Order: sequence, then C-alpha cells, then structure tokens
Amino acid sequence: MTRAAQRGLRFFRTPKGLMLIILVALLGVAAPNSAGDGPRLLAAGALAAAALDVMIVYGMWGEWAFPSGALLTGLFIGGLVDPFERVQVVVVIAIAAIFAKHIVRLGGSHVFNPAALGLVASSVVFGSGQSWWAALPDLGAIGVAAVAVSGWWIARRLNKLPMVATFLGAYLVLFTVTAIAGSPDQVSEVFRSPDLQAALFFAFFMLTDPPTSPVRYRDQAIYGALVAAGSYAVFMQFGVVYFLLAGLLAGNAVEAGRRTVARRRRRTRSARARERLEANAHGAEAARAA
Amino acid sequence: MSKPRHFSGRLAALSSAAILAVYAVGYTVTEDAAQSAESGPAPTPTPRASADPTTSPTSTARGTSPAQTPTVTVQRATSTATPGASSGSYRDGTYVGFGTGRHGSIEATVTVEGGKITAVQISQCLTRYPCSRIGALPGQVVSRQSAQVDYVSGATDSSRSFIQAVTNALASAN
Repeated sequence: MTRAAQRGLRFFRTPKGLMLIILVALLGVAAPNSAGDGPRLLAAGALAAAALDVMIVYGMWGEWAFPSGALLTGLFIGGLVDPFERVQVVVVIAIAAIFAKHIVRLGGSHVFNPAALGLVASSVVFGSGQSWWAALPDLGAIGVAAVAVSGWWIARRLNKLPMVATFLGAYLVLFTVTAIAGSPDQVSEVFRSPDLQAALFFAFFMLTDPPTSPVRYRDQAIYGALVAAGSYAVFMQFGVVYFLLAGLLAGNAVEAGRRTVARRRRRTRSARARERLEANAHGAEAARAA
Repeated sequence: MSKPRHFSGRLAALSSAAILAVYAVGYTVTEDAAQSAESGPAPTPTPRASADPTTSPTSTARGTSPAQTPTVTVQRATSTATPGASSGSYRDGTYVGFGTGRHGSIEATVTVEGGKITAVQISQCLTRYPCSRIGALPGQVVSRQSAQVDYVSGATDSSRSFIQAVTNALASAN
C-alpha cells in the first residue's frame, strides 16, 4: 500500500473522517427524496468551500492540505439550505463561511461554527430559507432512527455525549414547560417532523463541532444547556427558522470568551510561578553570598 | 476516583430515558394543538365565477414535511365558496387582513379600484420561513379576482395563512 493510501485510510479513521463518511451516507440517503436542486447545491457548497480553503491555507502557510473541515462546512450548508435556493447564493454562503473561519479567530481557533454563521447570515441578508433535508425529515421514524444512531455513534467517538444529552434534555424541557404553561400551539411543531429531525441532526453533528465546543464534561454540560436556552429564546422571541443555529452561535461566542479567560488565567498563573521560582533562586544566591 | 474516559453506559442510558420521557410528555401535551394546526384555521376563500378553469390539480410534493421540502408543483385550494362573496365586486379602498398558521402570521394588503382587486401585497411576513415561496400568490389573487389561490406544496401552511389574510381583507371590502 502506498504512503498516500495509508494516509487516506488513517484520515477516514479520525473523527473528522468518520464524520465525513456519515454525513455523505446520510446525504446519499436524503438526496433521492430531496425536492428541488438539493444535490446540485450540495456539490456547489462543498466545492466552493473546499477550493477557497485550499487557496487560503496555501496562501498563508505555503502548504497544500486536504480541506476536510471546509468539505464538512460545504456539506452542512448544502444539506441544510432550502433546496430551491439559487446556486450562486449557496456559493456565496460557503465563501462567507470559509472567510469567517479564517478571519474570526481567537487563540488560534475559529470562534463560530462556519456553516452556522454562513446560514444565519444568508437568512438575514438574502432572506434565504432552510430545509434541513440532510436530517432526513421525509423518512419519518426511519429517518429519526438513522440520524439518532449514526449521530450517537459519532458523538461517542468525539466524546461529546454529555453535551448532546444536556442540550436535548434542556431543549425539550424548556419547550415542554412552555406547552404545559399554556402555549402548546406555539411549540407543538418542535416535537414533530421536520423540527424533531432538525434538532437531532443539530445536536449530534453541529453542536459537537470540536474546534468550537468545550472538552471537559462540566463545560460540555454548561455549553449544551446554554445553546438550548439560546435556541429556545430565539424561537420564542423571533420565531425564525434558524433558531437552532442562532443558539449555536451564541454558545460559540460564550465558549470563545470562556477559553480566552481560562487562557489568561493560565498565563497569569505560570507568570506568578516563574516569578516565585526566580525570587527563590535570588534568595538562595543571596544566602550563599552572605 | 479516576475520571471516566467516556460517558458511562449507565449514565448514557439514564440520559436517553430521561430525554425520551420529556419528549413523550411534550408530544402528548401538544397533541391537540398540533391536530388543530394541521386542520388549519379553516380558510374561507372567495372564489369568483370566472376563476381560471384551466388550472387543474397537479401532483403534490414528494416530501411530507410542510414548508420544509417544497416542490414547485401546486395544488388547487379545495375550500368551499362563501355565499354572497363570489360577485367579484368590492368597495374601493385599501384593506388589510391577517392570517395565522402553524409557522406564524402573514399580513396582506389588498387594493380595490373600480370594484376590482388591482393589487395585493404581502405587507408583513412573520412566518418562520421566507414568504418568497408563496411570492406568486398575490398575482393569482389579482388575476382570479379571488382569494381562491393555489396551495403551494411544501408551503401549505404559509399558503393557508395568506389565503386567510386575503379573505379577511376582502371581508372588509364586501
């Protein structure tokens, strides 16, 4: 086996590679049932994102790198956007998402989930819709099972199950309490297709994005609950179709802030430890001299 | 105590059971609301005798998720005529009506000149989905001189809200 083939095989065993395989499989199942131009938009989004990412990475580092993250971003955009959207708009969303990924950064990592940022921005700017056809809303219970099983497996591989569990728990509790409290008509759709499949797909595949989500279990739980609360607030206040993605962006921003604070604290702690060591060394030297 | 490398199986099972239980409660509590939303706010379009007879019912969307996987095909609204509202003669003026559905509300502004509907506008789109999908419906109201327009497959709820909004506006013009 050649070295390139071995590298390729190794990539498909990584979480990102596995995510790519699962996403392509789900989209493969969804495509025949997709109305409109779903597959064409998918290809346009993935190609535009990947091509731009390759160029940016080469321009910045002088290296050719396989654009796995950008491909995922493009697939998410193509799989979530309204299948009747114009191809040009999808290409613009993909380009904006990749630019945002490389520009909006804190501590060496991008702040926002690129696909979520691109889709929310396009909804606001172009009024473009979303269908979440990649979440298999047309396949009923089979679709729910396919998304849940594959999503559970990948979330377990990413070690992000606490985040998924707290998100889904908090999300459903908030909407259930609202229904019990007297507004069942306002939230009934959340418990049904296609919103149910969208929430599952979102929880397993988008919320768990490693660069923008926390690692420690406690932080994961807080993050999951926070995104659920943000999504709920956007849904109740504005009722827009991108409420889940808006909640995710809010969570991304808070997580970036938390990481920045933690990094500063770590730096301050190490600086103090260094000062103490130096002071001890000076003291020892002075004592020796005396 | 060492930190578990993975979310333990027991905790995962407990979490899943809790999530399913909450979902079941939420689903049950919203069952009636979902059913009444599904049946819709009983649109009462005002068909005109000269409504375009060449528009025949066409196939519906492959997808089953309303407003999510739309197709360009349309199906004829099958509402019943409202007695006394099919004359096609309205009082001149500009009328505003609201229609509300599962995915939000639509405000339609209808302009009547010389007893005929001359312009219809979706003046406010407060639905979760963009109103671009039902962008052809105002034109249909003008050409048919009636609120009896086609339901856009995949945007059934928005179509219904629009029909209801126009119907309410025309009710003031009668």
